[in-house]
Amino acid sequence: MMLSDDVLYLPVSELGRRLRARKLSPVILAESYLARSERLNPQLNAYVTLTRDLALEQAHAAEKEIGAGHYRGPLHGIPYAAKDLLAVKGYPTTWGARPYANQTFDYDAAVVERLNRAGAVLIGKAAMIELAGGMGYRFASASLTGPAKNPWNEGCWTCGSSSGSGAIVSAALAAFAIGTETWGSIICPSGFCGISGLRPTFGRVSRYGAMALAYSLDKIGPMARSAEDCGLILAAIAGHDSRDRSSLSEGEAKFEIGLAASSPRLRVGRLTNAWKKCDPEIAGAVDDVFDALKKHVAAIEDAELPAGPFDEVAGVIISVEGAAAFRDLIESGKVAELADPLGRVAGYVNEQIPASDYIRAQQVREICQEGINGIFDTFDVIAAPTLPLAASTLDTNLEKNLSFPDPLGAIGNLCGLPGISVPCGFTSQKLPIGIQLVARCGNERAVLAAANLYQQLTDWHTRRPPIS
Amino acid sequence: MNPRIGESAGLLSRRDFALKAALAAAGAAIAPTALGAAPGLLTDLANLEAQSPPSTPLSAEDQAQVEARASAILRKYGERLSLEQKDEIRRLSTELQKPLIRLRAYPLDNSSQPATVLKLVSDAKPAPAKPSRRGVKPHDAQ
Repeated sequence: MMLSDDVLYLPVSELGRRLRARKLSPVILAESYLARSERLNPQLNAYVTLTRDLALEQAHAAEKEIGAGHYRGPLHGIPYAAKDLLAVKGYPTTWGARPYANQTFDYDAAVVERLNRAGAVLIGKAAMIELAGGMGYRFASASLTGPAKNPWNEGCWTCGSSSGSGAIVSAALAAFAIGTETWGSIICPSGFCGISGLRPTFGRVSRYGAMALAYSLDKIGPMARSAEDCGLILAAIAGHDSRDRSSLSEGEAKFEIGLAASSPRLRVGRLTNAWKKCDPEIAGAVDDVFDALKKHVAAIEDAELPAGPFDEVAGVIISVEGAAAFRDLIESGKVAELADPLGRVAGYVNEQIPASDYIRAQQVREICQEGINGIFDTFDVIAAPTLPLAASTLDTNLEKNLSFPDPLGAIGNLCGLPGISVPCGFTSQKLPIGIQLVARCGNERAVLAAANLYQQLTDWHTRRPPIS
Repeated sequence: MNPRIGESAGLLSRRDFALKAALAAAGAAIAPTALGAAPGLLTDLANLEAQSPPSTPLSAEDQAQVEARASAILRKYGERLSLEQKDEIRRLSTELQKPLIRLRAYPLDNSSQPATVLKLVSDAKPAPAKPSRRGVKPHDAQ
């Protein structure tokens, strides 16, 4: 028996309730997501690998445990996908790139370990932009598995680098997915695909067993159907890990469910300088968000990001750390095997950035931290359109046509701030629109509370793409 | 990019530094999330960039840095690159200079501390064993 789309599109919170009450079988749920994934993956390029055997083994174990009254928590028996830069013992971990197509690890990434402990069921490894974009890319096709296609319009891209994770959640190929972000790689696919994606505070989720792109910027986070789901998943994956040098202490890293900030007290900053230019349909949809929230929060006022060369700072740091992380690949010449023409040469250039410029970027980063921290004395969250545009077509030359300043993304990632993107409408071309909410380091509760409040007032996050 | 920033970069104070230049060619190399647009909007943004005045030429010193960078790459890796890729290296080397100019123009002093902090290890416990990676290493792979 296969479950209907109505069930497969349910949020984790509701699936969990049904599993706990034994109204839903973990095995049938896993079989249903697997069948849907096997059927739709050729259309969407969302997965690199389906982990059918492991999924069924974990689902049977969950069924047995729940049946015996041993319920582990809200992710017990819930099927998910992990971006293919997370090590999973016994399966390939390709980093989305041909030079690593046969790579395997003999251990699980920390986030996979934690999800195993929570009783979640791994359905597969999600497709991604090669090396998470670490060598640069010009086209959506910069992936071992080809371009991930947007379930809302298969002629459009999902954004990257967590491209498969975005498509998987959007098309209900799993109940949630794990993505990673160095600069925009959770927020952008969540916006393009009309889902809820949370970038946690830097250091909250262990990166042990994850591909490194930029050691001082990489983060791991949930992509799901609602802010509430993101909170449930974060609670399972957050925590100190001595194997990750940047891991926060247990007190700072731990995230507990049910401690959301009180939304009536929220002070929301409406950013006026996040984007140089914004599609009017998107700007209008985001204005509607503020209208919807204004009766339910303490204040909504205009806010401005601090000025500074923060795009450049983030770019230099990522370039230098990426060139270091993939030095073997660059020096060996194996970058020539990458799918994207830009990726085959950009590493050579990035290797040449002087150390003094890297340190200078790190000096400006400190100033950026001071500047943005001051904003949060006035506001609990700051908000802006996730992107100034809706999803791009699959053949768009991203470098030529669509590189533009992203100060909120640069600052948010440079400073390790938590952020969430949630859907807030559609363009006239029926492509999703998102709003992003960002808070002070460690204050995921504020972004989750604001996003959850908005999702209680609206139903954009429950809309389904025209794919079945 | 927004050439106005490049023109006045040497004069900009921390406060005055205007909002961002678009990350152009090397920007896409250094910004992993080049962003996409719907077709109808592409024209608008492309026009917006086109409305900006033409890019200021690099100074002789900056041009020399660009050439030194490209030469170093071609000297080390030239044999493995096609003519087209060599041209691309020269173009990216030029594009990289623009964000570096803006970064270097930002006023800092000797006491400006970088966000790189040594994390002291104070206990005597050995570091956890590093698990191994199996399979094909990139430089052995076909």
